[in-house]
Amino acid sequence: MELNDEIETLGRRRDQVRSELEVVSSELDELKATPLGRLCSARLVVAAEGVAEADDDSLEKADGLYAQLIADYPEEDFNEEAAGTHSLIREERCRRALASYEDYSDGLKEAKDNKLEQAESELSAIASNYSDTKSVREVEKLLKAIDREWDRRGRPVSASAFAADSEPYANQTIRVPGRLTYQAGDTIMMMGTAWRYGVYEFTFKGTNKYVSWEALDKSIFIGGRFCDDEVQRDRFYELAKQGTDGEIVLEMDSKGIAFRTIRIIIGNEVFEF
Amino acid sequence: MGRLVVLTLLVLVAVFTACEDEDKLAELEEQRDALKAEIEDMETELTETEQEIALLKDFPELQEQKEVQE
Repeated sequence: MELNDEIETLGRRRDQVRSELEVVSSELDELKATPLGRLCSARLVVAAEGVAEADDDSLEKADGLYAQLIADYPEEDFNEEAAGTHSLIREERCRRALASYEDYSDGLKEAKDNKLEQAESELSAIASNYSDTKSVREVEKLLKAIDREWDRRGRPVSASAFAADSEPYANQTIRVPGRLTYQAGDTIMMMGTAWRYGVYEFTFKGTNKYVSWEALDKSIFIGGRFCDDEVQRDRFYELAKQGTDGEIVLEMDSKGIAFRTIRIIIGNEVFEF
Repeated sequence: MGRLVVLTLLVLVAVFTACEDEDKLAELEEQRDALKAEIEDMETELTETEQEIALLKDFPELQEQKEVQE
């Protein structure tokens, strides 16, 4: 019985509080219905003098409120103040988004591919979201630095994507996974000397596309000199003869078909052409 | 024998009734707790709304606007 009485009392209390809330909410809606009311409401969230200290959630909310206010009332007297505060908020949000990347450019060379890709993706989103701010220039500088790093190391591309269409990679430096092999051919007599003809081939992983170079003995002779370093040349030959997985770094031409420069990376070893 | 059967039946009815009472009690307690939580949430919202109204009314622009309307 006691419990039933308590529930009845609580039920009445709930109805009472609900009525009070309806009245007060209605009063608040009336206050906020006017342009000035909306401006003051936005100021309560974040005012110009409080931008630097405001938390991220408040800044996000205020960003939306001021943007909507400016859009809805372009001719109001307070528009200049609202635009000024909104601009401050946007700059602060961009600055905070960039804050975690402040020293990133110093560590680009050491960053692993997936981290570099992630940073590039996140920074691109920041640049896009804050394209209306001055602070976005710092984001763009960082993106250019990342781009230069990709040029240096080659942007990883899946072999299947590359095999499907090389054209999108025009003027880019890319890395494609694959397998290096060497196929020995017939012996050729040249200038009284017997040379073993062979073909080095780098096949892109999971595809039937490849690049190949003709060779006499171990050296890639026909089509260009491989390298003067005999040790490196011998090492390359041994790795290819046994068949080894690695990556090929290709600097593509303007059509994305021919390669301006080629490097083959096997583990920590880099062989340059 | 007959008395034993009747006694057993009485005990079973008593146990069954006790279980039903317990379920009913749990249901009522749940209802009470839900009402308390609902009231607490609404009272919090009421306080926050009243505070927002007070802060808004402090802005000179809104005071002026109200005076003009009056």
